Amino acid sequence: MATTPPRRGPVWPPIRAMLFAVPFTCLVGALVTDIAYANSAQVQWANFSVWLIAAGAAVGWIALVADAALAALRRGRPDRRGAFRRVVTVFALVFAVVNGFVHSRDAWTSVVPDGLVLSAITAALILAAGWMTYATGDAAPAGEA
Amino acid sequence: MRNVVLYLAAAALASCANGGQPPEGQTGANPDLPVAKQYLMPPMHVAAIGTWGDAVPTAARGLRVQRFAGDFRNARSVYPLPNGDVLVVEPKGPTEPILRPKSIVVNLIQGFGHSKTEGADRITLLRDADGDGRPEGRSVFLAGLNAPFGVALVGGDLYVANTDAIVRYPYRTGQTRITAPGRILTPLPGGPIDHHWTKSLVASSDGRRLYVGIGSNSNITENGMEAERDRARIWEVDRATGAHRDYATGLRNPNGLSIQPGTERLWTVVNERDELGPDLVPDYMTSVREGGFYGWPYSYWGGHVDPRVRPQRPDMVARATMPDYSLSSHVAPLGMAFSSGTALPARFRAGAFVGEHGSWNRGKLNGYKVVYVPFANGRPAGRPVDVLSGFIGPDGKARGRPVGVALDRTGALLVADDVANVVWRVTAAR
Repeated sequence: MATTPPRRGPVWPPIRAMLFAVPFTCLVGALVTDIAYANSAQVQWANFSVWLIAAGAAVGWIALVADAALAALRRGRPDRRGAFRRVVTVFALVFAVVNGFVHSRDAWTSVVPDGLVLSAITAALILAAGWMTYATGDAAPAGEA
Repeated sequence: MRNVVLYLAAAALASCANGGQPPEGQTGANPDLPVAKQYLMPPMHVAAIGTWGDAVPTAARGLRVQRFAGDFRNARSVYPLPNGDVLVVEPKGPTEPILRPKSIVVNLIQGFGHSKTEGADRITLLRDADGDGRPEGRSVFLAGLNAPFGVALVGGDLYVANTDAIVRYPYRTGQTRITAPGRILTPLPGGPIDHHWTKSLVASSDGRRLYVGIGSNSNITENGMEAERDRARIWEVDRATGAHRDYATGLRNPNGLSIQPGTERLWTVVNERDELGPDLVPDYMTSVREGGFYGWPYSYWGGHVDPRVRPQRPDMVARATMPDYSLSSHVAPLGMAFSSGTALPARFRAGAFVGEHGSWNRGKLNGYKVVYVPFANGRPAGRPVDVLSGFIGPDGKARGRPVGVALDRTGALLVADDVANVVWRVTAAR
């Protein structure tokens, strides 16, 4: 019986999925550690938050820029759903950067209240972007293939 | 760019007035205190490092300044011995662990304003036997120290305040090098964070006690309350036993500990907290009340509550002592010495000299000079007078930054400069 080698899919979708996993995880995680800090005033929680925000924002921007660049290069029908998802992601990452500065203040007011509010907004936006990315059941959303 | 001055006020993010008001309005017993602000990016301006060339600092009218000695490795404090020899302390400041991304950025920015010469963790002795302002002798007096700053001699006992302990050495008059091992008198709070690491030291007039300044381990408790144990205070140390007790607390970073001639009271200059605005919080000079609590971290300048601290402590705020005299915000006073003798002109004979290392947390530079605060009836009276200025050159670069100050045996003012790595000597103009 002849065997057919498995077809190699495009490289970008799995890389992008892994890259986007970082901002999803970190920016939602920062909300969790912010809540822990607000409830305990134990400064290590605030330190966790600011590292999570920094990592989430840094990797998030890399993923977003690469994704947008590839989308722009791709020919074919206009991808309005992908464009909207990217806009939501941009908002999430802008909030994350501002939040990184707020979290770089010292002690309590680096988190409460401004940082906590920004973390909640950021988490909501990045979750929305994540939902739009994966809720299609399409392993290669935005039409790559 | 004319120089590497970092002006990171980030106009788009921060509001106006990051430069700060003229500091004159904020010196004295009743400084104007604006409303505290918090920033996305606090105002920052660090003067890059320049060189003196043939220039020297500008001395006040009636005074003359000369380069006493140079080529030090981080000259932070000066201590004249009774026989006229001068000790120059050359610490290597400890490295703080990186706890947040901010640590990396702050280290980078503040690094622009510091000398690239690494400290040597030693004390150098200078001998100017004929008192002409040109030392004939120079030797490594003590080596192998750990971020030393304060020095105090009582009889034949020389005490060095390393960042982690007061160490006692035997000293004979005229000695140019100590090789005997030191003995720890009292361990001090040092690492692992050691944010404010300079330990200022002075002996009481009767020589029975030592006073040592221990700075806070953070700007405003951002390293956790646990890190502030035994910090931000002055200890009184029994010289015979090494036992210590809190003499005064709530002093964020006390330096320049000095005993006032006549009253024999303890005074200090204190570096107050940052990142509340270019005109907050004023650094100050104060007599130190035994048992006094001076606010840090809960409040500043008496009862002004700092919102960044948790838990808040209204009970502590209520008992916070008001300091005596504001030097204005962010000047970073690190050295203080009372007038003594009659070698300097009359208007400098009844007050205190303060070495102001200079600001980073405001747009318009403040400090970067040595001032004289006139006293009357044992209290500061009047505005500070510039004694030595011109540390910022015409190109905006810092040619030097003053730190420790002291009066030598002849009554001349010595100033340690940790950027030029020079000791300046100020005498009456002839």
